[in-house]
Amino acid sequence: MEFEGQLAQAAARILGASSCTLSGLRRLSGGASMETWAFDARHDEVSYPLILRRRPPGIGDSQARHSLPLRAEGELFALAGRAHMPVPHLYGELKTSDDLGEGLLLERLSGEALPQRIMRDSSYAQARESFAEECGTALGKLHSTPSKWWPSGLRDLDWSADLMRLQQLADHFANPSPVHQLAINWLKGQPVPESPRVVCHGDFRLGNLLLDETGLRAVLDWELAHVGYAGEDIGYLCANVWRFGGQQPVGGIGALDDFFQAYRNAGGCELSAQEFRLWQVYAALGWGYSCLIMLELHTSGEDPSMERAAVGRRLSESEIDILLLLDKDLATQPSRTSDALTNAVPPVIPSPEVNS
Amino acid sequence: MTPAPVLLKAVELFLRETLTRDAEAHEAEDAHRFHTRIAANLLAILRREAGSSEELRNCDETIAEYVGVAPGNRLRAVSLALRDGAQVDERLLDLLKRRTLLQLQIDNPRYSGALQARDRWGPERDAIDTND
Repeated sequence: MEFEGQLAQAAARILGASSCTLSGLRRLSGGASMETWAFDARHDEVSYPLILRRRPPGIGDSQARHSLPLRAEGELFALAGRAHMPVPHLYGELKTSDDLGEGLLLERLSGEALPQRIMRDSSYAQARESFAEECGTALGKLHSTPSKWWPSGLRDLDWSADLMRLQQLADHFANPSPVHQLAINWLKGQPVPESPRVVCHGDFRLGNLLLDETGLRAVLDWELAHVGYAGEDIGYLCANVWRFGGQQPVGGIGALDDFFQAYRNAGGCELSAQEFRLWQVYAALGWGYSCLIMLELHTSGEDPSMERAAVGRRLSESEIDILLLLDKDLATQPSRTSDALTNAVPPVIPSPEVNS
Repeated sequence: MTPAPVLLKAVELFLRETLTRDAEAHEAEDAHRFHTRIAANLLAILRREAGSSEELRNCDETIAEYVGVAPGNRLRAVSLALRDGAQVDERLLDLLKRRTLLQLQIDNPRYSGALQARDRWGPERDAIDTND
């Protein structure tokens, strides 16, 4: 049976219908190992706008090494719903008998995820106003979920093990960046983070957040979720690369004070300025590794798309962000020559004035 | 003979202006327009690299010489030296800043971090003299 017919049968099973017809089936994004499809399923005069996230059968999955099994991702949608975070409704999962691979069938919400449109289009002015507050509320809710709700099987590394993972990644990719090594060395010299251990979304940023004209509709793309420190998601959201050129620290469009007030009101923790900075460095380094993972996917042939090759060429973005964040803190001894740059200009990535 | 950067620029313009315009005129799928833009961006990277690779290579050599690593895969050797405890002074840091800015000038000169770095440290070509 062809893909569309198989999908119609699976959708009918999951929706509890005897049969349904599909329309508007189209692939939205994804590489060879993960696909996202949009379509409408119709049954008894009712139309269901749906999304299928699918890992097809028989696909090599080096990408899967870096992301969650779809079953665990499904459990995270349930967790987020229970915590009253805005997420699409999960209708159900594919079964082996569907012969479509691993997959989740989700509600398709209307809205916009493209950062450039959200940042510039006048119709999103109101959404931009409330963005930092809504992000703070969403992350505060996620980070205050009790551990007994957390899905099993999430990556759960303490600080020391995570630093070892970062070094192993550098070694795996043949140590291409001295700046990345300086960042790892600097992180190794920092005290263990004090923010609590929580479920981290792992990719909480513009691009993975669905907004409409009124504000945040849904938090998407949970495949990098793991157990980690609360500060990680916050530093990530505010990382320079995820500000998309915007001036404000929270995703380029929101203020930190608005974020933290809402975050704490929703159950989130205090975060020191020092730890906030640490997580920004961590996020910049993580972007570098994301670039290298994309390049590996391309060169291995697992996902030979042009986008993967292009992202692999963005390594230097992570390097400049690390240098801007740490600058002279990276020097461990006086210069052997006397031509050091002057550094009279204040930091461009502003130090946060949070909880001070 | 038409130099390589000029050829690359010509193809890049074709992709940016002709193909993208045609795609929009024919209401092509978003993905088609997106891929056309990526293709043009990749050609632009190659074009910029064709004009800057020697400067980048010189910078890498200066860094490797300063750290005292053998020729070959210089950046990897420098990374390994740093991993294994080589000290970092402001001179090395300045060289790495310059190297990163040169690379960004090729990869994505409009990246916000590149603009911030130039504001803070000055234009990359004037930032450091690597010939001392």
